[in-house]
Amino acid sequence: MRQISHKLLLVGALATLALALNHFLFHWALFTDAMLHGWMFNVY
Amino acid sequence: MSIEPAVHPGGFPYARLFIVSADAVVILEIVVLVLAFRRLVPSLRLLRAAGAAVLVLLGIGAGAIHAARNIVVDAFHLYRAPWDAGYGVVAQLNGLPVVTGLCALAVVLWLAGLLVTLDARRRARDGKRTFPVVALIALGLLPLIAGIRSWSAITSDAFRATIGMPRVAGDQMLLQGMESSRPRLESAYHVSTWAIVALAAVASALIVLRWRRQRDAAERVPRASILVSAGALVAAAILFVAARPMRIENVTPWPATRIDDPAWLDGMTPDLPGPDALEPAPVVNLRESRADHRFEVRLDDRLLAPDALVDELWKLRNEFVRRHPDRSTGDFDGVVVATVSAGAPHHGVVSILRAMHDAGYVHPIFAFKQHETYARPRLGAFHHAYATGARVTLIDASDKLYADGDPTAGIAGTPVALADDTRNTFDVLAGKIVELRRSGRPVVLDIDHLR
Repeated sequence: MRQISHKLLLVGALATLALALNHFLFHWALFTDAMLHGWMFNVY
Repeated sequence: MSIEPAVHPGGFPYARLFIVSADAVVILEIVVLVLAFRRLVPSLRLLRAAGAAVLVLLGIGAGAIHAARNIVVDAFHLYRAPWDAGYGVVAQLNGLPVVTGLCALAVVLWLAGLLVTLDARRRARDGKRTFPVVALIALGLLPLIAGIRSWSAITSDAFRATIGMPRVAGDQMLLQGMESSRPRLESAYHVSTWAIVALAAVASALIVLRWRRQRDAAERVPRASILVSAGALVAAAILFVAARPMRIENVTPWPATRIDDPAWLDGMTPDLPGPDALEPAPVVNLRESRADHRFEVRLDDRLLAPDALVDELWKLRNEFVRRHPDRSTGDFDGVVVATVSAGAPHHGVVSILRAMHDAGYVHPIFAFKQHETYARPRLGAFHHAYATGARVTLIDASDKLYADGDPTAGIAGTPVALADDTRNTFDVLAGKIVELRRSGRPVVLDIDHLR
């Protein structure tokens, strides 16, 4: 029982890491979109 | 901003360093994988070294994108040429699919090496096979990697299509590209989220099934498993925190992007909040000439002798159908945009209004340039110039004659007589027109009796 709980903990932790990476990569890429908006919006 | 210098196919900062490093890391991963297949007891040390190499590759990739972002931020703050912002954005669009794609390849190869290594070591230890199903969860990120590639390709294509195009059409094309590419990225993100959850559920189910079959086996809990779990949770927390500022920027909506013709903004016009929309139409520019206290007249950015304006406008009127193939001669709307500098002299204003009226352009829209500063949560302050307009109708004595002496020539509206005061500059008239238009009243400019 102890062993399976540790394995399931590992699954949960790695799934959380994958979700965090997914979240980070998505916003990391989308930040370029925000910069593009800023470039089109800005005027000097 | 000009978009011409922005297109730089394929390039991004430190691209060569990243590509060479990625090649080296991928070769290392393949070597680790082949050795794991061939050796009876594959080395964990080599696997760790390959993992460290993947981390270094991730660092170089992130650094390359960060360098491209620094170009944009520096351009926004005018530490370098403003148009470099476009170059920096294109560099990111070039870099993101390459960086994420090669890093994903390196990670997948490392995971394959990990699986084969662990399996071989287990077989050498007790003759049993093993397959750490948790590694499957990483595959859930592949839709996002594909989404980044698709999003970047569509936006880059929009950039390439703008080469050589006029600013207004180019900006329109870029906006359309952004509108069609962003949903791809968002869909990929959602697919990845659900894929990760589904793969985690599958992994959990497989673990439970396996445990039921082997529940008698008294195995100790490997310490590494607890350490990996703790490390994964810490890394996840760091990633969520690191993504927070970008998320706040990304979810904050931008004001509707107005794509104004640069000609409407380039006239040293008064800073007034005109209520009317500007329309694509010939642009007449009037500005004072400091040299001889006279004025200069331009039509669609062509300098003209003031007396020639009426003839040139007639030509444009005659070309109306050729310029608007979807409309007929009867659709001629008499709209012209007037960008008049605040200090333009009275006799100059009268001169262009009379030319417009006599050429049939009786509905001038005066353009005014306004500024706004817009603070973004992460990117800082942006300064935006946009054009507003105030529409008037021109009449003179001949119109009134046809309208049986009606002072407004049968046109509903508040008549504004141009004071025949040659000392007035345009800003006085402009203030009056905008005030009336903002109160919702149509304005009729009577140019009768004016010289």
